[in-house]
Amino acid sequence: MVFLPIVNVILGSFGLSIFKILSGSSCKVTLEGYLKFINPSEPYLQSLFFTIYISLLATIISVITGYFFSVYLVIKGWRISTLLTIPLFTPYVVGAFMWWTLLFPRGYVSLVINGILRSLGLIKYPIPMVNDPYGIGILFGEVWIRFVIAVMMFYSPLQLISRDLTDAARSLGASTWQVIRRVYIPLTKYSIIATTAIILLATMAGVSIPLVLGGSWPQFLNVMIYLDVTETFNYLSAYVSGVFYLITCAILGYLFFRFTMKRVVIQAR
Amino acid sequence: MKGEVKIWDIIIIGIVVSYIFLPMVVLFEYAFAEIWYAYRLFPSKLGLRWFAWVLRHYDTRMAFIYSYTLAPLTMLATLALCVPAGYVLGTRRSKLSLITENLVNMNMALPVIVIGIGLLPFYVHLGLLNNYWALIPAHMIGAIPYTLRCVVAAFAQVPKDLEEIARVLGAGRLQAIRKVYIPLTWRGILAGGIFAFSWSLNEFILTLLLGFPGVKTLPVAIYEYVGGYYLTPQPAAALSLLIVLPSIIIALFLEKYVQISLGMEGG
Repeated sequence: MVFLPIVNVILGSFGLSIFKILSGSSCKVTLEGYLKFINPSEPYLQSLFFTIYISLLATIISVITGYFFSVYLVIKGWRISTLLTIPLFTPYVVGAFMWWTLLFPRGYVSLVINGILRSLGLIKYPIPMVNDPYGIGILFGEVWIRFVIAVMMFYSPLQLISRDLTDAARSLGASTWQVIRRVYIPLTKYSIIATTAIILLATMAGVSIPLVLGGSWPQFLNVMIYLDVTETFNYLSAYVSGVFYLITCAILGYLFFRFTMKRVVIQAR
Repeated sequence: MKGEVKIWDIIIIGIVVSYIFLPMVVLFEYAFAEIWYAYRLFPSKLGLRWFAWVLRHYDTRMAFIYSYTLAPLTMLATLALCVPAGYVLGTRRSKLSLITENLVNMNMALPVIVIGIGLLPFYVHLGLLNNYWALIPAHMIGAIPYTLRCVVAAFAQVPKDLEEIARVLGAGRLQAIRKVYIPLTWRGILAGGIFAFSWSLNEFILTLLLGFPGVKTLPVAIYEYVGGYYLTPQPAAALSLLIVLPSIIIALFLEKYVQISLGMEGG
């Protein structure tokens, strides 16, 4: 069920079709799609860079804030409330819509942020915060969901760290920042890598948020794929973009599984 | 340090709680706002008008029916596939079963849109586009890895001795599964089933590519209201609540009574 669509995407990126091959019809291998993809005058490469840039930014914000919030919860000895995990069981399209209502020109968040920036004299006119060319809307929507995922993924390994270690560090005069830097971070490095990989992967692969909150240009690569297939029927370009997605996701997926397995092995020892 | 609440704690927790809940608050505002003037910060009149509106309209009513019938059917079909597979993979930890498990897990790392465009020609070729029943296997693709993980973990935790004892005492394989495994693994199977249910309920992009416009589920109907040029947030908010509230209730129920933590994607 998964193998065939993937084969179809890879073959399709070279202008081949499973159905034509099976029926014995003639097929011509072409690199036209790849040449178009890497052509700087075409939108695909810029779209890929925009996707990577916004996904990386959303991942960095989510991982850093999520990590420090988890450390804070562990230090305080508090557990995560189920209600705080609401973004995890909210469909992405609904999450994106909720942020749209907050970020459109009359939305609360947009009014507050633009109001502050104008009162500080930093802007003359309100900046668009949704369907904008900077990806601000996508960032808000992605971080809302990914922050909670990061907290959930960091909380368990942080909680497993023996309190004796942090108490020993503190009795030797370490500050909270030093305890985080010298005790928590080294002991959770695999968790940090795995969480970063899975969040980056999910941010890059998710369609709903960039589709609802993204601007008309630049667009996420997966939105380009969707539009190629549904509006311009440019399957060749969609397949080539799909291959680039597959390669990126395979690398990130490998990192995730490799480091989660390593963490499990280390913890089992 | 434990238990002390300082002013900084209130500020930090306040910021996080506001960040998480503000979108939900606004969703409720839009869903219940009967009159909301553009120049006002808050609605002038609250009521259930938009819920009545979405339930009265054929399209949204059908979206509701499609979503809440596809989800249990996907759940049953996924469990029918994953329980026997989970039994084999969980009880026989051979190299082959580990490879199979990892191959299925790899599916989690695949972007749904890529699977969608790969499936599209097959659906076109087989005449399955806009077909309600054909969406079940499409929804299963995303659900299987999560469900299988839950089920395999549940079966793997059962001590192998128990099955051997049952078999020595004369139980057949089916009896051993029914009397030994099922009572010890039902939580994992239930969790796997709920994952499949939730995945299907939230699935968006595959339904949009393979089912739209013939079969429109709730997420697709919501997208129709917010993704086009003419935005109509009130019905979208009412529809969103019809999908978010059951998900929250299911998650709270599982957390409280089954001790399962649920997180869902869905494109």
